[in-house]
Amino acid sequence: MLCALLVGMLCGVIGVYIVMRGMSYIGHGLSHAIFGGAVVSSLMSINFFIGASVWGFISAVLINLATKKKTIGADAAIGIITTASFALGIAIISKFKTFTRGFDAALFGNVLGITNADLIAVIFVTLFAFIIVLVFYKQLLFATFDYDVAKYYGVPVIWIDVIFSMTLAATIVVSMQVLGVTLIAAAVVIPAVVSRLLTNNFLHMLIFSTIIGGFCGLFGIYLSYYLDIASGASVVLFSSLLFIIALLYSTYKGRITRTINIRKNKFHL
Amino acid sequence: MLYQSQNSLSEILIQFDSVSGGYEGEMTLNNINLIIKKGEFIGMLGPSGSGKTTLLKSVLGDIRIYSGEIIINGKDEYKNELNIGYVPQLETIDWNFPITVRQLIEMGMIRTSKYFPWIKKEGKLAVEAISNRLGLEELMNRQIRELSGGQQQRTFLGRALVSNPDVLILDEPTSGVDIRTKEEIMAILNSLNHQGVTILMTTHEINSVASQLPRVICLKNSIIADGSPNEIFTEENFYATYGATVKTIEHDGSKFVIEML
Repeated sequence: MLCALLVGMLCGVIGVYIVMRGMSYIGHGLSHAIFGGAVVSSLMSINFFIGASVWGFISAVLINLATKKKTIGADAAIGIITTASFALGIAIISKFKTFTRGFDAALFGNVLGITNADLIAVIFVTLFAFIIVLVFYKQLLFATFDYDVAKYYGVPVIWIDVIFSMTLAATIVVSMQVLGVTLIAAAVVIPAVVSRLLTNNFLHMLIFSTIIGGFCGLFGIYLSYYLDIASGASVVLFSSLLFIIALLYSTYKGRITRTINIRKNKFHL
Repeated sequence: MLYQSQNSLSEILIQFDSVSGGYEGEMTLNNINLIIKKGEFIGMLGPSGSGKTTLLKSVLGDIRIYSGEIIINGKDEYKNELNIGYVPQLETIDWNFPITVRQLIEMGMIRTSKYFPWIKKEGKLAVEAISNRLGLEELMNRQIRELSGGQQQRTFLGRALVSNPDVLILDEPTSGVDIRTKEEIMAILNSLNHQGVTILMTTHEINSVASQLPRVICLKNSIIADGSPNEIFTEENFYATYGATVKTIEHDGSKFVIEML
């Protein structure tokens, strides 16, 4: 439960930067890329966390570099780099059949397969991510809002990219066991989108997204247990339900605000 | 209204010595020789792709220089300690980003309080001071997308000015705004220039903006003309810059251009 709560909070806070940078697809792509790294590290008998994290970090940096090239769109860059990495993982599995971690769990998540080492890794990465967000709050905000201009104001955008890529890769690596490769993207994106629908304040968005992510992680796991379905699927389904509610609420609120404005204008006329 | 630069123009702030450069493998600027003195108010004219934005970015150290050198405040460009405020083209801004006027202006203080996640007290005071100076005090908690064109431009000016820069660089500050807002923006820039801020800006508007400035540079990858509008607004210079035929007329001491379509 603690693991699901932390993974939800972690994905929630990182997701805000992903969504606001317009790179929602990166979570999906990077989780697939990391799957390739996990398989390669298994083949080479390297520790899963180290191998997958290094692979994920390199992929994230490559994606960031490729997206800066204006001639390639972000979606195309993510698609090429990550699918190639995923394909490599599949090719190695089909050839050597060496992947020791549950294949289904890696793809769809299985919270019951979590070891003490997994939990320690989740705690460590969550603490690391929150420290990074707190310490580099201003720099991350500026680089997310206006990357090209941030460097003229003294924001070390390349280092901020490196640190963020590291945090993102680590987030996806430790979330893989709970959420699964195929479902991480939704867990990263949905809490951030829901919080965006609820607030117009970036700091509040970070706080809401963290709470919503943690809430979805916790209740998703409850659902997974009672309905006997894959943990990743239940977390994402529960998040999606919250998204629909938030969408309806914001549409209704928007209509009310518009009506009030029209009445105010009529009154002034 | 013809704007005048502030009086003392002796100290050289930025010097381009035969600079050729651009982005990856692309030579956008060709043999640029230019001196910008402290307190000047300069506008750059030229067609799209003529290197106006590249020249601005070369001052910010963001282009590759293939030959020549840029000396800023007496030092090599990459070692310069000049405090530069930059206002980008507003068309490039994500207006749906959840950010208030206050948060945006506070971004300009990032150099002075970079080791803290929050803005220090002096920074907050500077933000208050600049918002009052630009008439933004009532709008500080508003989202940037809720502002009018002039208010948006003033907010971005606030971000550039809050750290008290030596030079203000603006990329097409009057693009896409109505006549009244344009007038408002130009009046603010003129007032800032008279308070000692050196201003370098690009514009596409020859009659409503460039003709009012004390110094204009016509650029088409290299400098075609450099001087006051009355000196350089000639049919030959505009043909060399734009490849278009224009007529120039004089009215109330200023020179204007008529397009010959």
